[in-house]
Amino acid sequence: MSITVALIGNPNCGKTTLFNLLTGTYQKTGNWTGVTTEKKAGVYRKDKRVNVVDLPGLYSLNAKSDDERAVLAYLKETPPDVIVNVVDGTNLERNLYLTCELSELNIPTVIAVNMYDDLNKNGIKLNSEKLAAVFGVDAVPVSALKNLNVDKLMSVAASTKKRLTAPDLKKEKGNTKSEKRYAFIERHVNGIIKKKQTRAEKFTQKADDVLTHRVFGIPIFFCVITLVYFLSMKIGGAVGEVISELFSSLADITDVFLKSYAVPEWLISLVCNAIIKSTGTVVSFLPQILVLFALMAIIEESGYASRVAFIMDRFFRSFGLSGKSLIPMIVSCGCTVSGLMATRTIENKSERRMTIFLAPFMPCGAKTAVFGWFSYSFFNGSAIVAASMYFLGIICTAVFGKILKRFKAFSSNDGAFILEMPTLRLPSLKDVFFVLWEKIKDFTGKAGMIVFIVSVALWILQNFGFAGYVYGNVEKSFLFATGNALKFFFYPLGFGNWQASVSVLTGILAKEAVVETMRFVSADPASLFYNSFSVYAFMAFVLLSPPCAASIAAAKQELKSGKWLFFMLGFQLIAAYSVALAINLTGILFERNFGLILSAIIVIIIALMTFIFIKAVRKDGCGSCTACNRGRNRCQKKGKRFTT
Amino acid sequence: MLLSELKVGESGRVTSINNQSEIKIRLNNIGVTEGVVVTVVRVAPFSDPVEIKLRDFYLALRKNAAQKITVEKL
Repeated sequence: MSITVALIGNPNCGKTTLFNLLTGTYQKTGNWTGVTTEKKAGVYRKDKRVNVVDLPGLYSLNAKSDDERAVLAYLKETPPDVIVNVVDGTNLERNLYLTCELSELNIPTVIAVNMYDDLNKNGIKLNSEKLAAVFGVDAVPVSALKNLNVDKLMSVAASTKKRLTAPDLKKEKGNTKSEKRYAFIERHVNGIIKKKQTRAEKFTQKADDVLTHRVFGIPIFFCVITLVYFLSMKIGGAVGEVISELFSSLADITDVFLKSYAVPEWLISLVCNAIIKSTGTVVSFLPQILVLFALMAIIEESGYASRVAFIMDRFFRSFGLSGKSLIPMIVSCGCTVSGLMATRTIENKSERRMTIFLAPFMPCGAKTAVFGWFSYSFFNGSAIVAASMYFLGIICTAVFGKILKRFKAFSSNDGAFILEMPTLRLPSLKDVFFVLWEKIKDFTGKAGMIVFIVSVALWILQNFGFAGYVYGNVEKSFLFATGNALKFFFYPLGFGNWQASVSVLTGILAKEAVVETMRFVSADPASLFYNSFSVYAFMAFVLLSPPCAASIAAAKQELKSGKWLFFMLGFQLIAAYSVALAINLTGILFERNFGLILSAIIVIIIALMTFIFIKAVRKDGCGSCTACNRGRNRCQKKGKRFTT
Repeated sequence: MLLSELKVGESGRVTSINNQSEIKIRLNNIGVTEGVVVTVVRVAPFSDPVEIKLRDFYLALRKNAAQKITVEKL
């Protein structure tokens, strides 16, 4: 007979570390509040009959945030056999609040007092018998990090029938239930533990005086982030180049090998060009992204990420973002998909949505490679041109953030910004390694698959047309037909030809494919652009247009709404189009040709389109109250109905 | 006085939290309740958000949330 054990506790209580230790199935653990947002399950490695479920870290079961709602629904619909309530021994008072709430569920429970090693090191006495007596269940002091008492915890959990006794709140002080619960805990906590500042806490306070310093905090952060990028570009970039060359020679060898066996020409071209080279493109990005993710994992695990959110919050808020948007933005510079997933820690809905809309403006690893190739091919390898894309991304984030903020849908004030500043800890190498392992699986799985599919699809579109197999005669291919249909759309931007249009199109599927496509369809890419402004407009369009298919899918998942996804794609297309247009118009102004008049007409059309788009968004609630955000269909203030 | 008016290093006892706000529920749940003693530990650049210490842990709040909390200075 098998039993299910659910781990429940506050964020940063070491719950996920315990889960990793119990199951050996590794997943993300973090000091960054709320990293585990999905329910994760595994099997106890010492007793396969015990299923272990890791639930999101939360402060209460009050059913307000997505996480709280998800956990409550899980506990009500499929109650586990046993709850292991993990509490942080160094922060018992607040952690026991959730325990009080759990007592209403009537499920057998064990309390695991984590960080027992920390308590011992600092000479803090824990009276677990007293704790057990107060709540009427067993309480086991454990250390997930040092693997102390964990087996004992599991043997108690496997056999316990004891349920939490609900605290008697009638006599407690306070107006609300939560105040009474805290009053109850306050009365008992001194008998359970002797409070004392731990050494880690003292260190954290000293370090925070520097890390979050009013003047030096932000410069320190910029130094840290520059170092992170420098290391990932230098180390990762060097290894990536070697890998790229290896794949290129592998393609050559395969080519020779297949030819010697008289394999048909089209199959050789499919294997060598589409499959091997595109796999090479993905794999050569991997080292760079790995180093970036390893360093980012250290920043997150150590608790520094919370400090960064703290010092940057005011600045980011002026663009309708949150201090917590910064980490998703930085992660997006590596890969937009992971960046979008990192937005889950933002509790304010409109700030989270804004982050999802704007984070794709950051040049991800794939875009960086595209810009590198462009600056090499068109601007004599100017590093300034490539680097300017970062600045363009940041400027556009700020400018479009300001614009979006004017919409009521992006200025709601729901959800408090509550950011716990956890004790700074040295991240364990083990933890960082497992975070990385997750990322590799994610990246090679999702991104690799998509590049592979796009490459094969591209190869098919290039070599087949209405007349069937048209190898070597690209003007009869489907690709040519598609590009031809699209080129008028891009004419005002300065690259109205079928080759550039097709490259942009494949870029929406995967940015890696832009250069590949352009080289494939045109022997002389320089002929596609009439001046350097139109090249730059093209680069800007690639930077700002909707990201790859993988991140569009991720955005859909995070926005949880097809309507919002549609708005996001529309917004990004308009942003990309208008910026590219502005760049190209500047170029035309410099040359003073008659295209100016034509472009002016187009600008008016675009402006009208934007206006209509704005109207469409506005319909979605006026924002004078938050009724629409709560799923009601009548505005509280204006009494107007609106479509939901 | 309001929590937002406390200077760095000063402590206060929470006397009330603005009732109509959804923020109150969240603050209550995390331990900011009437009667609890909070100490302002530090403020971010631009003086917002504010970091406070209470019940043995550290919490950052935006100024607009701190303005909803009334304290009596200790």
